[in-house]
Amino acid sequence: MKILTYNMMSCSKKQCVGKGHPLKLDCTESQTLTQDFQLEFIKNMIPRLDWDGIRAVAPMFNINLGDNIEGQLENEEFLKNLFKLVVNTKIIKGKLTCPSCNREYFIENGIPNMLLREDEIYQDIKE
Amino acid sequence: MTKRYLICFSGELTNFKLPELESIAKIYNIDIKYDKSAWDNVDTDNDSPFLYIEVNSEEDIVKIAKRSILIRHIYEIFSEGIEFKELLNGLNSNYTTEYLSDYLIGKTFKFEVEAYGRKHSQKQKLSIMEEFNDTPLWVNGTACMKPKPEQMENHIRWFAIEDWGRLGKDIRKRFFGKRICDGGRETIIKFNLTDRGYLGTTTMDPELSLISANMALVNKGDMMLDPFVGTGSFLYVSAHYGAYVIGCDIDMKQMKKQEDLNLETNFEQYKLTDQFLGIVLSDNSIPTWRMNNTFDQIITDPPYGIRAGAKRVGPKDNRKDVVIPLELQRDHIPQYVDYSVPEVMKDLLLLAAKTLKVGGRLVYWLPCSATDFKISELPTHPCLRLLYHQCYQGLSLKWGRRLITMEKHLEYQEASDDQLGQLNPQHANLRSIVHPKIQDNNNKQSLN
Repeated sequence: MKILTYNMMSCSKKQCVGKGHPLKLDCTESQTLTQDFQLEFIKNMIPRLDWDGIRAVAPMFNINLGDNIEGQLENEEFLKNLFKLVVNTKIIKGKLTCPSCNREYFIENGIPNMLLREDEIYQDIKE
Repeated sequence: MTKRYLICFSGELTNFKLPELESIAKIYNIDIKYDKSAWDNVDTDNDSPFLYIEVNSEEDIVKIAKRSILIRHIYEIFSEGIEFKELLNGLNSNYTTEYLSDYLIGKTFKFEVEAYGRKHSQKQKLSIMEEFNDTPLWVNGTACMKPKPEQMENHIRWFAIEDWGRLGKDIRKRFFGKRICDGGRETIIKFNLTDRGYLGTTTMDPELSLISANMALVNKGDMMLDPFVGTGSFLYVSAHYGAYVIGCDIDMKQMKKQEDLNLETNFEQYKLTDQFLGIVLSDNSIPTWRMNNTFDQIITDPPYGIRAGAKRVGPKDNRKDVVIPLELQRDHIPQYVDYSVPEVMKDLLLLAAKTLKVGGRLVYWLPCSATDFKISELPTHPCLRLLYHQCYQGLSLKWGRRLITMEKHLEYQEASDDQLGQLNPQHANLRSIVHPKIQDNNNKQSLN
């Protein structure tokens, strides 16, 4: 999964709605892709991104987005770096942790497992 | 000034053609005008594959045609009528002799016959062409059967077109004109299932997948989601039209059957890997998306339990109050319970209401009975507006499936249960429509 997909995700638990993101990412294996910069697409995505999540993961992949994100949305150099992070970075293996309930979700072969266990669902119904 | 063209649609899937046409015009922001009474004639024996459409320029109609899966050809019509005489008189009175005789100066042409509802022999075609001898058109120009690519710019394809109706009984209309371009049907070949590496039993055929993407207004730079992705049919076609795509499924086996043959290798086969954002193992009754206007479209063929029952994560009675030990939690495979179709639908609409952008579309397939369908049986949500429900594909005399298109027209708001529709819907028990006998037996047993 690419960082963009990760950025759209949240904890699956119902009690974490609204506070289950950004998920804390521990990435043990990743891959850098080489797609050409797509200006229109990245501009399209900007209003949809969770900037706390972007800020948290950019340093892990040695991408420097600067301190003042809101001020740079028209800056092409910034947008290229952002594209490199969200579209050209693929997480192969790692772990996502909910900031609210600390539930851990594992990523294997590039696919995050966001399923809950049946006992978690049952707890949820009881609560 | 607008220009008028004649569309010749594919003879199949007739009730999909107008919704597809309108959707494509919306994708490119093109104004179209046509006789709306065409909506009433769809899917009867009287249905015609021909439709006049008005657009602002030839460029507009070519753009629409290239994207359309159900348009076969576009013509500019010079004359029409039922008898040849009428057709020829029309041609000679619509245009001056000078205009017609000068039309082909410096050009090559080919004259062909196309008939809907009848198949003409070569001899019959020739005699039809001979009916057109009496026009000044043929004064200039050179006939050319196989023009080279560099000649195409000055090559005109004349057509005598006949409409004999679906049953081929009586002549309904004859047209004479030139072909402007063909539709986008060759895209179907690119996604042909026999050439696709990774397939499953429920893989949607490419023509219907492409139409679904058109109905959902998939465009370059969009972000598209299929929450019941299976083998990914909707992802490939949406990526083909330039969208970035994400798929979810509750069943890992569906998405990644083998290491060297899976959803991802299909993307490589189609050279669309750049557009692939990833797949997520997730249950749509507990979706993993944060609430945000994230997706431009959601296209899906939800699980309906006709072959196998739909499932969601949940405890069966024997596992209630059983807590999974900490050391086994990581690799625990959850227990599944039945996921009834009304619940599947309710969760799908809730997902769309929460995660689509305003103006984004939800497009999904719904099995239903061939004979009695009521709009009131569809699920509803106050943030979603029903656009098209007419697209019905019959799969047997008793049942088929409908392509439902909805638009998110309001920002998300909570909905009460009575706003969610589908009161006692037929799809609550699809097996009873598809396998009426099984149902009868069950009833008998329960009576006994």
